[in-house]
Amino acid sequence: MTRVNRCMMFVPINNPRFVEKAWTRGADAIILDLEDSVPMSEKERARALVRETIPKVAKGGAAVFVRINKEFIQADLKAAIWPGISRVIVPKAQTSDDLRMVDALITKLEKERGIEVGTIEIFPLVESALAIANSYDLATASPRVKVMPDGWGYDTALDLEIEMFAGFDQYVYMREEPTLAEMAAGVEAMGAPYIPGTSGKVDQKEEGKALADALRQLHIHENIILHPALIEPMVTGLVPTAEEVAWAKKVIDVYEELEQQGESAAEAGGKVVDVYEYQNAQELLRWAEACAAKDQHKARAVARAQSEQAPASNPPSDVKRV
Amino acid sequence: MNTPAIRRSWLIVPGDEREPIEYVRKFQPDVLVLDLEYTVPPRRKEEARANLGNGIRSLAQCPSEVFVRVDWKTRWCDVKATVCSGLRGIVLPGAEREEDIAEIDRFISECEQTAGVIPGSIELALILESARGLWNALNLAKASPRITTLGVGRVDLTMNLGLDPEGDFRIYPYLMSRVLTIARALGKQPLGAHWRQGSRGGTASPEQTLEAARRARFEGFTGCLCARPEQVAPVAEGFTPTKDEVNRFTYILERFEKTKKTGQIYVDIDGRLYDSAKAQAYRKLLTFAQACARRDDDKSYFGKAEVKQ
Repeated sequence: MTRVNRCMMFVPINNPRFVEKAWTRGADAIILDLEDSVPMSEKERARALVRETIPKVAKGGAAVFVRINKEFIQADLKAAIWPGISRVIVPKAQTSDDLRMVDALITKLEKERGIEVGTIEIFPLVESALAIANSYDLATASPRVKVMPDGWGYDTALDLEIEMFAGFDQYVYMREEPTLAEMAAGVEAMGAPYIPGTSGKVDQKEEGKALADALRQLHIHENIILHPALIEPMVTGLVPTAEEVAWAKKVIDVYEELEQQGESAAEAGGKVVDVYEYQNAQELLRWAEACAAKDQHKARAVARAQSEQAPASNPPSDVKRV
Repeated sequence: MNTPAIRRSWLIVPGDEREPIEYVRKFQPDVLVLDLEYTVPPRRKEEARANLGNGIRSLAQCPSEVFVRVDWKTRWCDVKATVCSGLRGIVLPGAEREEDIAEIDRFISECEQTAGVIPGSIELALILESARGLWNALNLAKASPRITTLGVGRVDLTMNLGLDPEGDFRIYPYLMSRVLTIARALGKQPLGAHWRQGSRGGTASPEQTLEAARRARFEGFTGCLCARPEQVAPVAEGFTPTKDEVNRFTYILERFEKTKKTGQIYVDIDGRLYDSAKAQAYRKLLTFAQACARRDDDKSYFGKAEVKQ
């Protein structure tokens, strides 16, 4: 199945309230966070929770990822690599050596714990000047790197002393240099386009919608969110619209007819239809189908989870009569 | 060369076209690019290759410089069919590795020898179309001394990068800057236009084309490929300093020279300061504008003279 992670939501693993509710939110993927949302004093307790937390947050059909600490790679991976985890978020990756070490450790743990070797992805976060400069090396450091973000973000701002949300785009180079490197390396680029007027508040639904629109138009399929309010805008906004699907189907029809006539390009509705547009249209339909499949998968999982819960909390009425 | 090469419009004409000179008469591009790539359907490619020598010879006396665009997939037979006297250079799209360029360079040398063309005289205009090619741009541009031009190939690029052709090209300004910087660093002509949404694949209106070219000039580019003949005029206009600009530069230079005589190192005109570096840049622009005007005169004279016959 095509990877569908329209919204990956961080969940602080040390907070039971967030953990218990996480599966009901509808995110495509849950990131169990061992890094920024866990204070130093609770790191060890957090690690011990990973294995039992995986099935809890997966109940709604979400994929489950984990974010480890740069400082505790070994301890965190040992605690986190269990069946059900499909991606490791590696923050503050700096050099390809960092990622090769993570790769080797994951391979060892996959073997020990009965997980098919090579199936767990590495998702490096580009969060510093050095990471941006090394972006091609990071993208090619391990075959486990399938998707990678650009250098936009909070940590990059700290490292480069950038003032975020100042009303203009300060990230042109930091965003596009890694993006180009990733594309050159054959890795899916998860960019964060500049949206004028973004406030920097993490719960703004309208801003989320604008971002989702931009992402969809740029064919960016993945996004990390920090607040559940953004789940709905991402899950719906990254799916091709009905008009986009209809246009794609038309392009395919027009092009296939052209091909039969031995022609290579035509105009339809004021737009060019050629082999590129044809490939684009096919890609769009594939993505739309993958999103639909993911939605169905999640809906079934939620229904199953609810029916399993129902008898325990609401015993059938005939039991009461006895 | 004392005067700058004026290569604003690079008009792509199908390689199987019988009378390419008609395009020179009618549209007067700075560079005529006989195409062996997209504009020729596969079943006519052989014929186009066979026809190419005649086409180039027929353009021998025309004021447009002649290039041939080869197809990356069939580059060996395309190059072989192309190299002859009268050919200025080859437009090479799709390269990604420096080894490939070095290989093509050697092959062109062989062809030059066979065809009796001055060794090393055939130029290469490198058009970068893929993420790999753009990432490697600096190494690619250094891979052959024949390379005189470095360009952004927008259609293929858009697809390879997976960008929505109708959306706002997030990465495009960055790629333009990247190619521009590398081209300028190595002394190559930067080729590209700031095409916007709705103007993909030659569907740009004359107004959109003018805007794309003008903006590209302000960004530092000096020419671009034209997918359609109607784009030649707006491209030439967009890449040429306007009359107003020329008048303004001339005025500022006069004022600067006068002020200099009084011992001042800069002149203040309406609150803006102009120093000798700025004056130097304006002199260069004026030389460029004059060269453009001469070039346009040559071409229009050719167009009229041929019509009279």
